[in-house]
Amino acid sequence: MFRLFQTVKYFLTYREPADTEGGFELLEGKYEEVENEKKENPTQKANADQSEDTEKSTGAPLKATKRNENRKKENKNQLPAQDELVSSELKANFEKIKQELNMPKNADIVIREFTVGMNLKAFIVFVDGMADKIVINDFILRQLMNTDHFKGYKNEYPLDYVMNHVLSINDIEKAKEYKKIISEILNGVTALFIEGCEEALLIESRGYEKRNIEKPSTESVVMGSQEGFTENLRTNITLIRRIIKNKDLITEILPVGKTSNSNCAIMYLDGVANPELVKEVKSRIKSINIDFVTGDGMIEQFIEDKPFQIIPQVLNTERPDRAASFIMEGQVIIIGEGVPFVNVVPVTFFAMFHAAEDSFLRWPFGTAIRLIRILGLFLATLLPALYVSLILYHQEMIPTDLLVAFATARENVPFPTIIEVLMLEISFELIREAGIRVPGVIGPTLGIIGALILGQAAVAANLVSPVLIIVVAVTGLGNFAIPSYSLATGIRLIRFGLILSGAFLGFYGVAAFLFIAGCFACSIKSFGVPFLSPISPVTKKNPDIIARMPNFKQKMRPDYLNTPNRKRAGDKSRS
Amino acid sequence: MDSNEGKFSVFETVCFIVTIIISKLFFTDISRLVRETGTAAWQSTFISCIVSLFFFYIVLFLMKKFPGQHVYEIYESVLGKPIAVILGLLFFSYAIFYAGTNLREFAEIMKAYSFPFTPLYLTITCVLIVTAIFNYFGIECMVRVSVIFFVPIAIGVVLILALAAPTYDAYLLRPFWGYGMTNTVFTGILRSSAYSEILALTVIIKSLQGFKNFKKAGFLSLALSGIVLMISMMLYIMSFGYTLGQEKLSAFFELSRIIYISRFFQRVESVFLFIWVISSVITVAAAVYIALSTYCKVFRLKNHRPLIYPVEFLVFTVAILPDNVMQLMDINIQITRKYSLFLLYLVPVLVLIISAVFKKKGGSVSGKDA
Repeated sequence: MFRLFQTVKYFLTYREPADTEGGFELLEGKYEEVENEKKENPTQKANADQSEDTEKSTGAPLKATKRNENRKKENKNQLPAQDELVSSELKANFEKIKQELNMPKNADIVIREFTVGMNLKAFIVFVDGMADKIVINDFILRQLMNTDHFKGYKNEYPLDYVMNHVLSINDIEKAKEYKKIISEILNGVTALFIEGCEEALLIESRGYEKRNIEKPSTESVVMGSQEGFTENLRTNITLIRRIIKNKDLITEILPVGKTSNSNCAIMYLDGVANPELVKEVKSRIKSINIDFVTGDGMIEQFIEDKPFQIIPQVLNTERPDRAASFIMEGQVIIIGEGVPFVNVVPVTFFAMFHAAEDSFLRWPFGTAIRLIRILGLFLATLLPALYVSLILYHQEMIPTDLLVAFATARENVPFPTIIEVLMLEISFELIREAGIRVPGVIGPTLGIIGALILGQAAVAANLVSPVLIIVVAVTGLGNFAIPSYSLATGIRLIRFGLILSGAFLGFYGVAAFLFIAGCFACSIKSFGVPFLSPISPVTKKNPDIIARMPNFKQKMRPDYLNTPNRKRAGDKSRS
Repeated sequence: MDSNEGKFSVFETVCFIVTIIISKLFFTDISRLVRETGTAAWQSTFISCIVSLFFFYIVLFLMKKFPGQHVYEIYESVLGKPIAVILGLLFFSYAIFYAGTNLREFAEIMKAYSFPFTPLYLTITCVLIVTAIFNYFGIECMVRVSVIFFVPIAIGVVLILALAAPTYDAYLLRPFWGYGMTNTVFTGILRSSAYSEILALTVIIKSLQGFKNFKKAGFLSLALSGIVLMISMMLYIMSFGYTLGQEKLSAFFELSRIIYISRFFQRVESVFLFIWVISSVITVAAAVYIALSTYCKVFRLKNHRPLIYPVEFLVFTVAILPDNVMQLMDINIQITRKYSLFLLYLVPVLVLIISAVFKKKGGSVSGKDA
């Protein structure tokens, strides 16, 4: 009762806005500030330090928040405790590693003790299955145990000697802190501890099983590349690097998931991507505070501007060529571990309509297939709602012959139109969902058989009218024509809202619902970029929104991305 | 009302204002004007447009003197707080009255043509829900949505006018001067209130990013709306003549009703239902926004969202006040489309004169905005 009273009071009383800021916005010229920050000269820095000191020395009592901040800073500056660092005693390290990796409970952790060539005791640690055994046997153990490799050893620091003269591995690094060592071991790296050394060597030996590069399953094209992303982070990064061979293509690896210790990578083209955007992407990823994150589908939910909206604000693609084209436009891509998709931010509604093939086709065909997709969107969203409105409220619009055909088809159907439509729509969704879940080759077959038999049987049993079967089938086709899976899913939900509003108030209800949907779409921003850019708000654009002009006409990068370098092509991009 | 004011370009503003002004096409306005001025209705609306352009030109001087300031802030600077508060509340009340009148007119037409069995309050409530959502998101969102829907509205208007072409008869425009030039001019001047929506720009001026944009958007919107209304009225008379033309409730709906392309394509008026729902909702939402904005300025409130519900309730009350459509047409619509010019156009002119006499200029009160 009290809560009800509180809710009513909350609804009726005036409150000042809690937050007048509109969130992150990708404003023009903002990147300049970041550049200035970067170029901040040492004198300025010194001055800044001084002013900080002056502030500190004023003697005024510190506030709690300030005190906590200072404490955090102090903690950061503090050296790690002794037991968090590698000891010079091998036995202590051995025990620590066993303890940290929960041995012997953990069955897949392998510790191999041996003696290195100069008679020093040592051990390596790796995770069985994560590390490549050939590398460990042939290029780590064999090299380290072979005394011939230690003939030139003259009392140097053993780790340095091993690094420089013994191991022929391309990626080796020294580490002192257990936290880092453990994390690397869990990622497939082999750690080498040698008696008397206060550091460990982290030797690159990742070699776990992974899927080969295959055709993308959701974004297949007739023309163009047939490569799709895989579940492996490194492979995905390489796939993009193979397309953009530019020194300014930056890959930053960021940890996500407190307990799962997963990684994700962000990739962008330095000098093209807006630095403010990159900063924002990193900050949102770093702020993810949950135990387990896998794949970009989960990351997406943590970093979206408005996660409660039906329409997605992040684009997913499983095509490296498409991801590369987004990077070249100035967008940032986020690659998660464990799924063959990457996220692209920021994104607009119109980008979700573009497919990789558009650029490979000559422009008239590219434009034509885009128009077909827009027709698909229109049908997928509105067709059942318009059918319901026509049947229930606006029969005068239907030409007489057609009206007679409709009436005859519906004559024996006992249900009201709305029930009939909802029943068939839900059946269609059921078939679709079941088709995905059923294993292997049975899936698509079940979809087709299910739809055919169910449709035929429903008509024969006078449960639905044959006209409605056509309407629902065309709606389904339209939905499949939308290139973005997330958007298509959103449209499926919106369709149900439209059907209900059409049943409630005919075209008037449909128009009102569309209006509300438009309102929500206009209020969405994807990393500071209005979702309906460049149409609303109107910004400068390439001739590549709905109609697509030839590639050589697309000389500029989108204005809404506010890239430091807007030009894509020279003044004369074609001879 | 600092939150959600946003920014928009001249193009976006023109789309927004034109949509609001030409929404009258779908209401009773055209047939009413034909009743008052006969075949010269199109000349009368042309005169209204010219008069509105003249008044807007004068308002420009006022806005130039107080650059970037909300019209209420200007009144406060020039007239002092007590008078400004009275004026602010008067404008607030008028905006609610305008919204309620438009809403009722829309609901009546809907009832007459498409939903005879649907209760009036249901149609009204639906529009109010949509306008409440609109106002929740703010003016920026409202303008952006109107940009998106401007294209279907424009295509719809052009299609209706083009597809009804077989029914046009230029001889129906005779007698050319209608009921006489004096009557046409006098009615034209009075009905310049039909373009008074242009003054919405004085409320959203901060979002327009500069006086130049304000000026450009104002003139372009008035010119475009004037042309559309004039052509539509001319074609309507050419189609129905002035005798039949004055009897129709919604001129445009009737025009779309007589479209006959073939046996298969006829009675397509329901398709055009979309465009008048859209333009009517934008109009009511804009009026509610202006009411909210003015109220927030008067009482220096930063958050307009808690006020949406009470303002919408007031609009609902105004909408259900008239007993029937004739009362609505004879009282409410006459006030908003004929006599509101005395409040809407003449008050800014008076304020301009007072500011000139007392040499008041912008920057003294809200210097930071200037």
